[in-house]
Amino acid sequence: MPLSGLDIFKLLPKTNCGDCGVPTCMAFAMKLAQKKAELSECPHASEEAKETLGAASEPPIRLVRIGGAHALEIGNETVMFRHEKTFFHQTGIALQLRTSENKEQLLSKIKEIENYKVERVGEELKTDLFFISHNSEEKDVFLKILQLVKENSTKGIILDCPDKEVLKAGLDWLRDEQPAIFMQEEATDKDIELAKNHNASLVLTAHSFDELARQSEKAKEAGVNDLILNLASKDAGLQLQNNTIMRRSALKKNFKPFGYPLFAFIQAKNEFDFLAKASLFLCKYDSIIVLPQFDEAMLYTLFTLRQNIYTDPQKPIQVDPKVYPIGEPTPESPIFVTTNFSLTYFIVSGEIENSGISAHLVVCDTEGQSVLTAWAAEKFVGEKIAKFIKDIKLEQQVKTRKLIIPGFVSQISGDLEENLPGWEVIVACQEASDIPSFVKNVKLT
Amino acid sequence: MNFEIPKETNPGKIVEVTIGATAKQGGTRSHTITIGGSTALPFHFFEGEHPHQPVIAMEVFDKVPAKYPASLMDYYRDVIDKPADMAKKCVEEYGAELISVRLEGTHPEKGNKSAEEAAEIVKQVLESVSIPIIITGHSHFEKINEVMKKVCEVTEGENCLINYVETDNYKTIAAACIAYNHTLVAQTPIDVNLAKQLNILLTDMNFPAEKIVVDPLTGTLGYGLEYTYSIMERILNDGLGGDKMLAFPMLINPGYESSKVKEARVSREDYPEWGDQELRGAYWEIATSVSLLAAGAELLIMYHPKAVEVVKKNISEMFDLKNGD
Amino acid sequence: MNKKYKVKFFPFESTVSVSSGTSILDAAKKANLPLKATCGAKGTCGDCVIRVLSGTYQSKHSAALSEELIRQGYALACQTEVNDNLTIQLPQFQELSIKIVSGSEFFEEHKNNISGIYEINPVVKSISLRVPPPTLEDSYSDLKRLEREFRKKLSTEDLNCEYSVLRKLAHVVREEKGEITIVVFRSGQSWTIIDVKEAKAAKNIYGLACDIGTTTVVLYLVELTSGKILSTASSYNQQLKCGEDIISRINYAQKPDRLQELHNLIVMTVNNLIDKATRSAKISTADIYSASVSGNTTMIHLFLNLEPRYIREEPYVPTFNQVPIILSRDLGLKMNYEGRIYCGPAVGSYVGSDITAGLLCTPLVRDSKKISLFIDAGTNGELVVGNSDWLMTCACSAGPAFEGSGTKCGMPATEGAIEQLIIENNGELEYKVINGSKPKGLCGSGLVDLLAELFIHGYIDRHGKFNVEKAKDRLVEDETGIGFLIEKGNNSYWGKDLIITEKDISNLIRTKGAVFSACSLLLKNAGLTFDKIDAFYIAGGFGQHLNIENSIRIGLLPDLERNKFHYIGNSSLLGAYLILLSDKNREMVNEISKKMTYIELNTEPSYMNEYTGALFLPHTEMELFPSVKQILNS
Repeated sequence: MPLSGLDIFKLLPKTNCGDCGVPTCMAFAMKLAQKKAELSECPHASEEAKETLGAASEPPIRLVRIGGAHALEIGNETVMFRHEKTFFHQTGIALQLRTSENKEQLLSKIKEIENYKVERVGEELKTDLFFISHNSEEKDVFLKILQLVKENSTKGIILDCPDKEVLKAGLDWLRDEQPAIFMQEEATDKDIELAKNHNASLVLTAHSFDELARQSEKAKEAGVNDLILNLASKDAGLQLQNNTIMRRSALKKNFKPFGYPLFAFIQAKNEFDFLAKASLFLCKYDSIIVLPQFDEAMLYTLFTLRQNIYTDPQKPIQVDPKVYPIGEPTPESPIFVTTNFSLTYFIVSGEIENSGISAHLVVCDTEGQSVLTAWAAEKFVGEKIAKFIKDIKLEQQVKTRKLIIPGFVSQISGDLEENLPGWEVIVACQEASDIPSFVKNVKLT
Repeated sequence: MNFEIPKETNPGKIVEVTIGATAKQGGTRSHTITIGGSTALPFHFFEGEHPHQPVIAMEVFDKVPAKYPASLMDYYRDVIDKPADMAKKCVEEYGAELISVRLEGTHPEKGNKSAEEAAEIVKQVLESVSIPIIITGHSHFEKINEVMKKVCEVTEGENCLINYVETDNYKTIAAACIAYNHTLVAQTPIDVNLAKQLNILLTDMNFPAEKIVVDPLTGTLGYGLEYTYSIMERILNDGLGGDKMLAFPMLINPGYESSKVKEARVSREDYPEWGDQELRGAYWEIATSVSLLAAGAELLIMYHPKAVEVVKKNISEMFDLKNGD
Repeated sequence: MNKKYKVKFFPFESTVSVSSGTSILDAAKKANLPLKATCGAKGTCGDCVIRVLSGTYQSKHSAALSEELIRQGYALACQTEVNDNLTIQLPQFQELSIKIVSGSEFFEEHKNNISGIYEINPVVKSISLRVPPPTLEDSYSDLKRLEREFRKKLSTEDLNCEYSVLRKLAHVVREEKGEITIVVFRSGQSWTIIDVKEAKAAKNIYGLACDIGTTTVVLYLVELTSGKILSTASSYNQQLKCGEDIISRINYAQKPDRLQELHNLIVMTVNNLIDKATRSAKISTADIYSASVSGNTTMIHLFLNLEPRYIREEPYVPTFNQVPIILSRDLGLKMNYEGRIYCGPAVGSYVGSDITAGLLCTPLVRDSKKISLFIDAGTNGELVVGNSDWLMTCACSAGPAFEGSGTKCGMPATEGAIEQLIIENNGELEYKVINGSKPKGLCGSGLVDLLAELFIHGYIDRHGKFNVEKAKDRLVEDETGIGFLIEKGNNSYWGKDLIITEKDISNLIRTKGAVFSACSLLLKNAGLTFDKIDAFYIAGGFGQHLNIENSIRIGLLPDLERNKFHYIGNSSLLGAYLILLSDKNREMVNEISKKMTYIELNTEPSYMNEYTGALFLPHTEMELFPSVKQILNS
């Protein structure tokens, strides 16, 4: 049970000495409650406090890393619903490589996957893992692919290899890479030993809760702590239920055997069906999704969904502050100004587009705050907007000398004009949805 | 350690809302559609009741939408300007379970069609298909009040789903729904409190609870979904938790919203890393629909035939689990 | 050639020069004064009413002004042209006579239940001494002899003397056989002689307790040896013309010279009040030796001429929290040349000395078991929760609605304000006006009553919109829209209908919503719920009486046992008064400020959710207000 600030305060010295760097014990207690500070920062904490807070801070779901230098981190989740706090470690997206694939094309495929990246609202989105399946007779192909991946990629690797000899050879190859081993069948003591000796995490597969719990306990007893759980389910509906039940058991019942990230292998009839199921499991608790083939549209869709689900619902998403073209603007096109809160940007750009005109949209840096909030926090005011417009040298990019600002901040227009000699400010409507009609009725340039 | 499934039972139940009316009930529909009634989170068959499957509506227009993605146009080119025909096609070829008639063309700045014209189009659609219908309006208060009053009147008894009223403009349309026996969508912008407030205002004017569907205002994937998703989860959790003013089935618009965004419109040549345009359009609508189904959506107004097909199939598959057990 | 005339506006004392034929409304605009005409200068709304104090003028006739008012020199600014030098009073901003609880009465009643100490032991004292004239035998200097006599009365090592005292010392000790009165200022163990007078001069010394609010400024003139409040004065803060809320003032101050302007305006406001108070008490400003000032952080910054912009910018850090003692002459305040000014400590950008001082008037810091909540619902709302172990505080931008600004029918709790109101079952309104005149408007407490009555009787829905069917007989329309008629023009002071519009109502709902949601959020941060709170202390400019029942009905206050609530009025002023009376309170208020943990709501993600929940009557969650639910159901 998480402790409240007041609960923690009662354990602190109550001297308001400030040695922890925060002015009062209460403020420090609140930071502890929000996990924004460590108890060790208080030099005067009692043993009782250390004990009580220590027990409360152990994560109910273990953080597991896959990969070397740029390891993917999954798990360590604390809530069932993102609105309760946030989801912390986003689902890893893996691309499957099979030993049965055309060898000649493998290298270019690996490179293509490795190089694929796409930017969205200031974030660079990439795949995280290779899921390498040994599904042919040729033993050395598996090692060959491993070698290619290791040479050409920094992504983490999951090994899916029923041949234990080949698996061991592969693991020897990946000594410092913290790979994961995907078990198609129940993990034997030998498998667990192998994982332990190679510092690999283990994806346990089972067909019932009891069986999975038993394997999980066994692995833990043997000293393998980095586990990922795969409860193989016959269909998507069951998988969804199982994922929910396991997450709930870990978080609410403190059922330790399920205190690990979850994995599901998606079986689909075609790419549309795959996407539907992948979307469902991305929302509902899967920490790894394996894509059977490289498809940019699919990746871009899943990346976007992942970004949406794993953003902190309490922190706004920001877009890059810059000038965005809407339609095909010319130097004579009108210029709209707004803030860099993603939703504000999307709505405003969408409505300008809907109005059918081309325009420049100047998006100022307001640290992701919406128009009114940013204005109140002094981030969307004449002086700052003027500075931004000068910094980006807008004057050299356009011929228009009129700026259209949101109606909610009409009061900054004087200031803005004062700070931007030669420019005129037009105050637009308050709501973005009125932009199309505003555009029709007002001379914009 | 023996594992015991941790079940959670909820004190609340989502209101069951029926759309459409058969001849017996005073309408002309071949059947009605009911949503709501669940006592647990979506697809949690192991711990509650889910008497009705989420349903999929498709949308037709009183005027060709100004920005209709080319990839969609390929499916509808022959019927896009004939709402009655398009409705028929949606039902017969693509499996629509309801038809939404979007009356955007009545907006004073988007065609300013008269209330009578709108009513005529609605009547044609009612004649061409036998399934229940949704009538979707816009936010020009004065005009939409006039249009909806008329449409409610001419469709009396059909129990259409009148889409939508909002906090600043609900009294006229809600009164028309009461007078002519229709069901109503209460739309509020991505906020649990605002959703609840409008439901309270409606029930305070004696609007029957079993005739309210909530639209928390969909953002599509990448454009506000992160907000909508959690608002829907919160509404549903509160509703199941016993808050009667939040226990209404929810409607979303993945088709309309997805068709507006850049991802549905730009080519692979311009955005190579976004991948195939054809696939992308459908993908976007699928990911939006499925994630919001997981968050609690029960009525989806969709556009892309491929997306409709796969989402509908996945809903049925999930419900097989319920029926199988 | 157009002739130019000078127009001077009171109480702002702004003068502009305009061409003949300019309307007074335009002249006021040129002077940057907040005079508005909602009708667009058509002469129909009556908002821009002014009073001409001197100069000749001619107004176009307007139905918006009664004959009687016209006879008294009132006119509509938009309908009157400047053709002479004019002196004009803006009655909307004329001197206030706010009804204030008397400090001494309050503390006599509550002295056993407050955190501060009610005792008379001020830092400035006057002491009578006899300093024998120098002789050849006793050839110590004048100052040494004075010190010797002083130490006979009060033993201290550390005694200093101001230069200005030295300059007149020789003369004074040689008059009247060395019978003198000195005025000393104590700081810790150290004493400083700040004045010396002949014994025959007036012995009484005086102090000021002053609350500088964003909207209004209030002051007590106090006789320091007895603690008696000799007079009270109040007025609008003259900075009002530079913006109604804190944020606008800070913005305004960011132009060159404007900080100085704001500083001058507040000093002028306080000086005017000092003049008024000293005149009425018939004393000299030179006998005022100390002042205790409280106000929100921004107001104190401006009062001290300090750059306020960093209050508004992340990470929201003000220039000071603890202020050193300041000399009156450094600020130009009308006090003794050596007058000492103390401003209480602030806790953060938006929790200032008005709150730390206010806490002295509550038992919050006395008790380690009970947890209390203190709410100051001013233009900025501030809240404190806690006990003697810990205190948490936050601020919210509530808006000035309960202080009578920001709504068309609102006004401060001064003469002519409706302070109590009920709606009878037959739809008739009964109300009580401060000083019993015809009503000019409603003060905070009246607005709370009105909102509650409109809601409980079903004239408005829970969203604050009129139920047209129910309210139709009292709905009237003017140029600002449809409003509910409170009083007809022929019975109101300004001769026009007194109405409340939907816009006013939603303004009030926003204000109460901001206060309530800040309360719930503060408690959530502390891990508490309302039922864990043992007592609520409510302060603010509502007026003398705040109806707790109605405050709960509109959702301003939580629905708890009524005896937990205590309305304490202007606690900022009362706290400043306590500090003036005893130095121990100054120490205590510093301790309090160090104990307080400031929560920044601006960065609190769930604030918006709490806030939208509270934008409903009484709240979106009716379950939080069971007693209101019961009334509505019955």
